[in-house]
Amino acid sequence: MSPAASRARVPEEAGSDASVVLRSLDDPTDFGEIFRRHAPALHRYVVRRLGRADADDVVAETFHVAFRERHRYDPAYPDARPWLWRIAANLVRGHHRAETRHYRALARTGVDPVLEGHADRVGERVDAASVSASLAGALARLSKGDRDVLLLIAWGELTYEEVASVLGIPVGTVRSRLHRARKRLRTALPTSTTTREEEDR
Amino acid sequence: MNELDHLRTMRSEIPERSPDELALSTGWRPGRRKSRPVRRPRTLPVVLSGVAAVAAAALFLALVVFPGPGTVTVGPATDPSESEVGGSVREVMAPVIEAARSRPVDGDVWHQRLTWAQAWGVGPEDDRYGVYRVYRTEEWSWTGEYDIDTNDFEGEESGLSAQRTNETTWALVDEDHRAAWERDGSPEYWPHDSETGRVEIPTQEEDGEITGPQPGGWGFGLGTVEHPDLRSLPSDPELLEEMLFSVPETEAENSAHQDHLDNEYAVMAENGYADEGARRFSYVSGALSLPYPPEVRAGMYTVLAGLPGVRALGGVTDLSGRDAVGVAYTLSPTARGTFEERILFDSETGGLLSLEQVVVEPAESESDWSEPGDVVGYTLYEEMGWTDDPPF
Repeated sequence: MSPAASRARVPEEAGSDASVVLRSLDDPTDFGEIFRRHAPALHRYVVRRLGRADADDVVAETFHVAFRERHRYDPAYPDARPWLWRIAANLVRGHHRAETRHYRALARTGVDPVLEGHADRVGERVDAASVSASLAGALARLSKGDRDVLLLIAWGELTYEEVASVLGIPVGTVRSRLHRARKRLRTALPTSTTTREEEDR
Repeated sequence: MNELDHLRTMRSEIPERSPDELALSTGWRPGRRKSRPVRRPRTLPVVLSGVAAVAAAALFLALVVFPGPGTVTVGPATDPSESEVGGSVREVMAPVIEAARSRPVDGDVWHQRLTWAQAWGVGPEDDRYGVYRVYRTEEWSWTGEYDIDTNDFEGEESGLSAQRTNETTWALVDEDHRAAWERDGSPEYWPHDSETGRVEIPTQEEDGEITGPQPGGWGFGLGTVEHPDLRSLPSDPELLEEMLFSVPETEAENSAHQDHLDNEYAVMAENGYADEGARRFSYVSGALSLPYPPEVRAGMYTVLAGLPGVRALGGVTDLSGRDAVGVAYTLSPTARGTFEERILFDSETGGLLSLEQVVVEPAESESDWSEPGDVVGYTLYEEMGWTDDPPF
């Protein structure tokens, strides 16, 4: 395949995402810089939720939609992350049932279907595996809305405001869903694994 | 480690791949549909035909709260440079400020019941109509003893809050468009739209369960404030302005905070808050529903009334029909159009009734379903005040 998507024709100092998107209106290959900057973090998040195969599809579709819609990108928005993550979040939602099956499988077997080739670390992973299995059981039972908020924060590392923007909900709803989801996870974990901690922001 | 740390450990097992690897595995290239074979049928979200192209970036700002369905009419925008307009703002807000100052605090728990909604154009491209995505929620804030790790009501006293979503639903923006809705098959649900990024209407929420109690305060302009701090806020409007509009000391040296602010300003500009004056209006209007002591509430209202660019609204009604007075502010044009934000009060009690976003001029892309005077976003406070009953 053409490495055009990955070749950095646009140097790192190319400026904000907005300026890159604007330039891509004249030269479409410049949009590859947006892929370079954002695909890795987005892909990692989606892999954790859906596994490698579906993640490749979702990320490809995200950037396809973004590319198609790039003429509507508002240049007042220097960072493209909320825009891209909004598209991806909606696509991930379409895989909700498959995702739930992943978590159930992990909860039942202790084998994380999303990971590849970690047999060499089996020893150190025994404890981690049982915690992951407990968490996965709880994740499987969360509602779509609660799960999206929880994982955009825990795995996507978005702020409350970014989550509100990505999901199109009030910040207050982000807080209440996060609180509810965390409470459910906490009750699912073996008591020895959690310690008294200040609530994360 | 808390449960979030354990969750993060699950992700730490996933390596971040390089852009080159991803370009190969995803097959993405600018301008070309990916050429990887589709291995299984995938259900992508249904794309509603004919939903107008609204810039994805122009969408959400669900953070900004706006007015309700169409009982409010918009008159011609008054010129804010007229000095008598400033005078009439003071006249209109004076009874509201005094009523707020003299309203007794007759409970320990601040309670609000509200309806929040945002309008979208939906339906076939040549026959669109507007619907609201509606939330009905309830919120409580109080100070109490609570241990978040054990869920016991004991320990250090702190500010607590609880919320409940009572209902998520939808409504037509304009009854005149009912025929168009019927032609579309009288839908009661609009799935999310991957083209524009619009989320589903109504949102599928778990109804009726109280969440909380949880600690945490509110955004207060550029900073934050916790419930116990509210008692010691100044009532002097100038001091309040200083607190609202200056970066907290703890963040002043932090360059990441400045980046975050820059991004926040860009998002606000997207929504029509394109200059410092408009941003200040947004910060103040967003801080009116906190459980202030009466003199502080009066001070906040005074701040609002003194902001440059606000215009008086007298003898109007909020969208549930309650008599109201208040202020209006015209925002800068956005991708969806030019809007006016209204903040409405009960002049007898000093209570905040609603925040309403009214169309001054829709963007070309939205002009088929929305027109001047339409209320395209709102927060309607059905109840706001002190009670003796915490939810727990």
